[in-house]
This record gives sequence, structure tokens and C-alpha cells, in this order.
Amino acid sequence: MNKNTEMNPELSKLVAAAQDGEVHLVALVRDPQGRPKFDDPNNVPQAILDVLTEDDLRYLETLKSEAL
Amino acid sequence: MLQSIFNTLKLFMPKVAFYAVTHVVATRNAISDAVVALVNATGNGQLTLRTVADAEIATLTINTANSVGATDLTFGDFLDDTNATGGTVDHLRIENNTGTEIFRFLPTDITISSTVIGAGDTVQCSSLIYQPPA
Repeated sequence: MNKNTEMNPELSKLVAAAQDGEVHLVALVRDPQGRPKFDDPNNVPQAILDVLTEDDLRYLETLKSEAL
Repeated sequence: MLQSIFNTLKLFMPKVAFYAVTHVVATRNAISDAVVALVNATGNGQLTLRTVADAEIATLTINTANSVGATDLTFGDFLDDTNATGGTVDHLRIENNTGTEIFRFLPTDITISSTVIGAGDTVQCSSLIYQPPA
């Protein structure tokens, strides 16, 4: 392999980032009872919090207290 | 001797390196136009959540028309999947209505409340905005 042709890995990442397209999407998962599901109830992204109902937020507080 | 031959050969070996490019607005718009044309080939398209083995976890059909602005492509409204197949999300795909993949992305690149989806769960999505490479 000709080492002169290899790109610095960090530079490769930068180039890949510059060439990539991007998406913006917020997805909410609910169980069959309609309750929201969270990978980590103690670290819910703001974008998810923004789409939760008051009932959802109360349920989230319950999950947090159970996790303590 | 061998080193000399190797050095001579190196002169004729193509140097493969890639460098960042910048697309002007018209080009980015054309990319979005091309993407939406592929998605719209058989309807408004659909979003699927898939496992590492590419098995379908949930499918959200796009219910209204997709539209391209100056550069960005905004997808139409997604119908909830109210009875997911279930699984652990490895990637998401935008497909046309016959299931042909147009592009994919990772759950780490979006905001999703849970990547573990049970059978019978409901998956809801906000609007999806696609930005072509800058």
C-alpha cells in the first residue's frame, strides 16, 4: 500500500461530515397503553419533552421517581 | 534495486485523496429535487425503522406531499404506526411506497425517545427535513 495516498483519519472525518447530507426528525414511541417510552427517563432530550402532553410529563416524573 | 523499481512504480500510481467541496444553492436544490423525485416515484413514500439485519420494526407512511424549498426537502406528514412489529432500531430508511430505499440515517442522528420498540407499540414522528450536502 502506498502510504502517501492515505488521508489523515481526522481529516477523513471532516471531509465525510462536509459531504454528508443531514436530517432533522423527532420520533416518539408509545407502549400499547399509550404511555411514552424512554431509553433514559432521566435524560430525555428537550425536543422530546416539547412534544409530551401533561399526562406524559406526569408519567415521566413517575418513571424518574421509580428509578431512584 | 527493488527499492528503485518500487520508487519508479510509485510515480505512476494514482494518488487517491478526497477533499471537501462546497455546493452552491442551485446544486443543493437540484440534489433535493432528485431525492424527492425518487421518493415520489410511487406515491409520497414512507419511513421505516429497521434492525441491524434490516428487518422492519415500524413503517410510517407519508400522508401529504413532500416539498423542496430553496435547498431543503421537507417531507409530508407521517401517519403513526399504531401496531409496530417491534425490535431494536439500528437505522431508519426513507423509501418509496414499494419499499425501495432512497436514503438511510442513524437513530443517533435524530431525536428518538426510545430505540427499543415493542410489538404493538406506537411510533409517531414530527416532520422530517432533509438537507443536501453543503
